[in-house]
Amino acid sequence: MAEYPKVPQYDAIYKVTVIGDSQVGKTTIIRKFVDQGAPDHYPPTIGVDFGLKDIVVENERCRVQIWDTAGQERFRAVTSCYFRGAHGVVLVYDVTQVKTFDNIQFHLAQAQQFTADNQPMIMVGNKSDLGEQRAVPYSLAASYAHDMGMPLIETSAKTLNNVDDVFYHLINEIRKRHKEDRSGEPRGDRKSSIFARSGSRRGWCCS
Amino acid sequence: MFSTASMSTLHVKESERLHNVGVLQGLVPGKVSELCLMHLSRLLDLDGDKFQALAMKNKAPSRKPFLGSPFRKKYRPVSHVDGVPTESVSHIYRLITFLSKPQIIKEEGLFRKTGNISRQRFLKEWLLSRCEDLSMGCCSPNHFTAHDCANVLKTLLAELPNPLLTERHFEAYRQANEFKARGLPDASRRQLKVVQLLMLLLPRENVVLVELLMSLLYQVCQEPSNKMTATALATMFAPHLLCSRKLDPEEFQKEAAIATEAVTFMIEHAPDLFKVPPELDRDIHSYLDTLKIESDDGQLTPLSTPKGKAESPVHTVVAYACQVKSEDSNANSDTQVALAELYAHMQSMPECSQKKKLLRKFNHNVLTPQSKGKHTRSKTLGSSLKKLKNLSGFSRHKHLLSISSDEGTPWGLIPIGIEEQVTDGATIITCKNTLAARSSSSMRSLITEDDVATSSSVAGDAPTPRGRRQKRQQQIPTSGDCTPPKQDCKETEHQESTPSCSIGSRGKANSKCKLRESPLPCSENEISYLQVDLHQEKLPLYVRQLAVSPVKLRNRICRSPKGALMKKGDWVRSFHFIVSKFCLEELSLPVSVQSVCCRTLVLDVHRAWYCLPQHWKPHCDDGSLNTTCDISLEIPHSRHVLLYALSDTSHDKSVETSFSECASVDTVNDTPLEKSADLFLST
Repeated sequence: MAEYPKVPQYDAIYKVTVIGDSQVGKTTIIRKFVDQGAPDHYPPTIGVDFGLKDIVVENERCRVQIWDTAGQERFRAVTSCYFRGAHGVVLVYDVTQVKTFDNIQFHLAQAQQFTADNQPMIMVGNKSDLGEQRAVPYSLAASYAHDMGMPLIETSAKTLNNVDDVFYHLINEIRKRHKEDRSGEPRGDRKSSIFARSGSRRGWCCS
Repeated sequence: MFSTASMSTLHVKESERLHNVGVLQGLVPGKVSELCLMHLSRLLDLDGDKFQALAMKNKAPSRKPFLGSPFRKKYRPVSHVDGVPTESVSHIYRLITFLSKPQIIKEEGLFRKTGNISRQRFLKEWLLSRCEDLSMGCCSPNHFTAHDCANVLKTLLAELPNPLLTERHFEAYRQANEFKARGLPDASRRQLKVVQLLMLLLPRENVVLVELLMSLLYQVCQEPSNKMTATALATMFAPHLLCSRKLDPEEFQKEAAIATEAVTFMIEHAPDLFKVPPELDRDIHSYLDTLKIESDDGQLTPLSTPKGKAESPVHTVVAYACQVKSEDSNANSDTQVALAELYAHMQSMPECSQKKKLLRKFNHNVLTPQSKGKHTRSKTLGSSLKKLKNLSGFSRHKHLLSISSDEGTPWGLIPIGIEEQVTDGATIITCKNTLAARSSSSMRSLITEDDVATSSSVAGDAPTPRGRRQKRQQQIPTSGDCTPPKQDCKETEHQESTPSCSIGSRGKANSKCKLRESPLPCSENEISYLQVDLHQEKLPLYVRQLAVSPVKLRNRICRSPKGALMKKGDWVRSFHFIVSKFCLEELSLPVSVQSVCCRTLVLDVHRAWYCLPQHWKPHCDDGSLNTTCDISLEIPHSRHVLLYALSDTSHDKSVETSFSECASVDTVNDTPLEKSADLFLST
């Protein structure tokens, strides 16, 4: 592949912020999405963390930049500033803990406060593999998500069930909305296409 | 009993999936590969160059190096023709069919032992020169043995200009091999899925050969008497199948090891290689549903059927917001009613400053959606209005309804008052304004439908380069008030972007041959442009009514009776059926009109052509159709088809000659056209 000049490795970049209570599995979901063989357990996130993944949607290479926020209460003050410039928000709760589901409301309010209107969001119920310990029924969560105008996906980061779907659905939704208001400025920081000039420019000086 | 039933349903599902892939491939050529790539990117780590290498076939590299760039040579794209040459396909095919005979498979050390080299050389020459049945030469005892044939097969595979599984896919195979080492859950299922997706990305000739070869190798490794295992077979075949042709020995060693592992896996899973992964099928299914306008019996097929979702074997719990309206929101309607009452009351108040003030307050407080700091569960009128809008259905859905209401009867044969006069052998019609409005609206809906289709096919590779088009046609004298819907052309951007070259009134009248580059040769464009010029030509009403629904025709051809997987005979028959039914018998049209109808049809047929495998090149064997159709069946390029169809339309000799001129000009100037035609004819 040495025949091709160095060019940006993606066509568009999307920033996605993941929020939710602590211990619901935000980091695990992100790690599993980025690398499917990643371990299951992580220490609590401090401040913020990143995950990068290149995916292909509609023949375009999209780089998904996932911001993993800290769920613990004491980091709340910091978390709010990670919404800036985000294209989409993932709200995570734990299906085995009602409290985390109740707190979704708070997180949603926070997200709406700091992001633009009509921001694509997606609700994720994690740990769906723990069927017998389930405390939040699917129908309840679905009706709530419906009221809030967003899709709900139940995932299991442990068994990798639906983890990909979360981000693919979100990116699709973001792209769809961008297409709709393409008349305005596109919000995705679009890089030049594969055969951009920048790479070949380099050839001029250092040949 | 139960198990057999479930098996049969499984089998049906499998063939249905393949069928769906075929249909989609025919309708929107690039879409399948696009979806495949998306699914591959889920499984693999496809960043940057790796994706570029995989998608190379789809994005035909048309970039040109800068003038005087010192790296000009570097940028020149390597030859991206992966397809196997046709003659080698036939050689390999014959060798494989010979080798898959049961007594030969039992031969010990098949593919391992080397035969007589001089005999092999002779066999190869014999293969290349003659086209007779292989078994004839092999039956005689002092002729070629099984080992000779096996070795010749290997050399032929090795001598292909590009490896059979294409070196572009090497990286994907490499990553798939590592699944197990990385300890992913159900690694082998993932690996199989990757291979299945890669098979869908291969060129058609390669797929045919790979399928044959893999089934042969599978048979060989299943047979214990020949003492050949899958690994042993893979060791011999992998370098020819997967490794790049130009590699250093060291690199080759490394790559061969990886390729061997991959090919071993493929041989072991040979029966499942060419199935369609369920996840991909789900996506294709939902995409087809969005394309599906009307099924054959003219009924609406619902968009994204919930029934289909429920049947799908995928365990996804994806719920979208458009489900059942919850009780919560129902309860809220009281508030809305109260608010509406309040608003009505305010409106009824006498005009004064207080009313204005109240109204402003009302608007500010109630209609601002989701103001900050508000309780998120509480509903505002604005948000509920928004939701009502959402609930009223997808925009596409609405659009479907509008089509169905536009065209009441399946073929739109609604009698509307027209007057017909005949002067100078040309038909003149006058339409009422309502008709014009009606037809234009139906046209618009059609165009938007095409829009859906083309926009998705943009990324894909276009079937044939269509080059420039010259259009001339004798203007049909008209006196009608049926104004061509020009505004419609401007209404949709798509309409402007289509290579709409009107063959109608603008052609000869301007006495100017307009040449225009068509960036996207695909028949959706042709169909939509056809809409335009049929309207502009002011043809008789029934022609227009026929032409209003080319999408339906296309669906009919593509889907019936077995869709893309039709046999040659069926294909021709269904074509005959359609032409005879709708053009010739039922309406008993005059000849000139017939051919115009045929023109519409032919374009659709041309579309259906892509659904067919290349080697089923249909010939019209019986002369029951009129010549236009016969000729057009022979000539795969739609422009020629169009020209022929048109030349038949006009009885004027001069016009006819101008058409032949036009055709000859085309063949001289348009090399891509010629090439594509040659390509088609050579298969």
